[in-house]
Amino acid sequence: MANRGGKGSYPPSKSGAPNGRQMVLISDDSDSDSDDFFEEEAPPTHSKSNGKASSDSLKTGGKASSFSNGSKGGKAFSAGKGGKGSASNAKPAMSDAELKLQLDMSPNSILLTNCEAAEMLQKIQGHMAILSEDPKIKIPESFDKAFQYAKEGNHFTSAKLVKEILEPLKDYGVNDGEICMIANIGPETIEEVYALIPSLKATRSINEGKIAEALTALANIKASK
Amino acid sequence: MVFLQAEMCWNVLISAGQLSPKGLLLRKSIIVRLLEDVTNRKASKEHGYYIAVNGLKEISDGKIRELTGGVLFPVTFTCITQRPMKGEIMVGSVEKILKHGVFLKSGPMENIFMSAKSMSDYKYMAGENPMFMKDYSKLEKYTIVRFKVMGFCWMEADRQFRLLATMAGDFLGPL
Repeated sequence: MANRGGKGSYPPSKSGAPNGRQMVLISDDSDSDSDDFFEEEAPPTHSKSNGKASSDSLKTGGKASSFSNGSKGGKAFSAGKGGKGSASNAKPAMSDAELKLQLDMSPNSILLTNCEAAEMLQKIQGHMAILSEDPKIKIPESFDKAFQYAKEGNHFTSAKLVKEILEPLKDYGVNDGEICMIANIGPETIEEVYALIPSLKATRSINEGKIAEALTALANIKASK
Repeated sequence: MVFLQAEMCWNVLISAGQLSPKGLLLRKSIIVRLLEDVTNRKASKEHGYYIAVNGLKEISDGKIRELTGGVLFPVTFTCITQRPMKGEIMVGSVEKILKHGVFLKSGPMENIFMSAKSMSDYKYMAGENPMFMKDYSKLEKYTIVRFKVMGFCWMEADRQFRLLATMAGDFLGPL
């Protein structure tokens, strides 16, 4: 999303900035001023190009994740002419892969897996013919795309069976978000589970056997595509 | 993006002309107006994209608005929504390829950007059909990609989210 001199874009400050802080902004021509993805702060002593940078996620209520840029895969985005992201010699590939799931739900919300959502949306789709006869009834425009997404992301034949297979994992240190991820990803091997959901590694010694059993059971109810 | 079933309480305004002494017609007006409001609002920062209203819990007593004569009904309902979460694994398709990265689309989300730096093994190949290539693997338009969400932000003006994605990691990349 590099912007070519669009509104709100400016090159990051050089190391001679008074507070040594380097701001990297992404913006778009059509956007308001508040559309920066994240900022990168370089501590004053490392304000040169090899400094370690930390970045925050913006406005989402999620925890700020700090990860650094590396020469191999620096994550800094620059906007504007001649803007350069700050780079350092740290390891972004490790940090990206190790980025843990941060569930940020409102208190009155329940997490649904793709298979559960697909079944619910299928029922609504079944009524669509009747609903569409009345021009006053409006359906959100995201419905079709979300329904398509849920169907494609649903790897299993029955949401109820998926829940029965994965629910017991809660007793082995696997939280709701991780269970949802396992159901949505539809992993084939245990290594895939730990690679994609790094937060499970902390309790690997407790849950590895149970997750492997769950994967075997899930393989039996996988839908053919 | 994960699906959520969120319970919400909104105020639905029924104008004086739609009020009916027959209970069911009034109920229908409230539901129709609620669906219209949900469609118009599209999404929120807290709940994500509104997909479908799937349950009506309660319609509380209405309050008359003195100047207009309309009545405001607090309605509690459940709605299926879809919201991005940081660190989650998603699947999307490539929409646009630029030298600095690719734009992806997934479900109702159309503003997902993946920087070229997060797919450092891939090289950009310009041309009529631009793509990123690595050995025998390539990323071109409509390629299905599994990625991880690094971060996202809510754009109040557009009422949508923007996501930042990465492919750096095992089991991520073109499917």
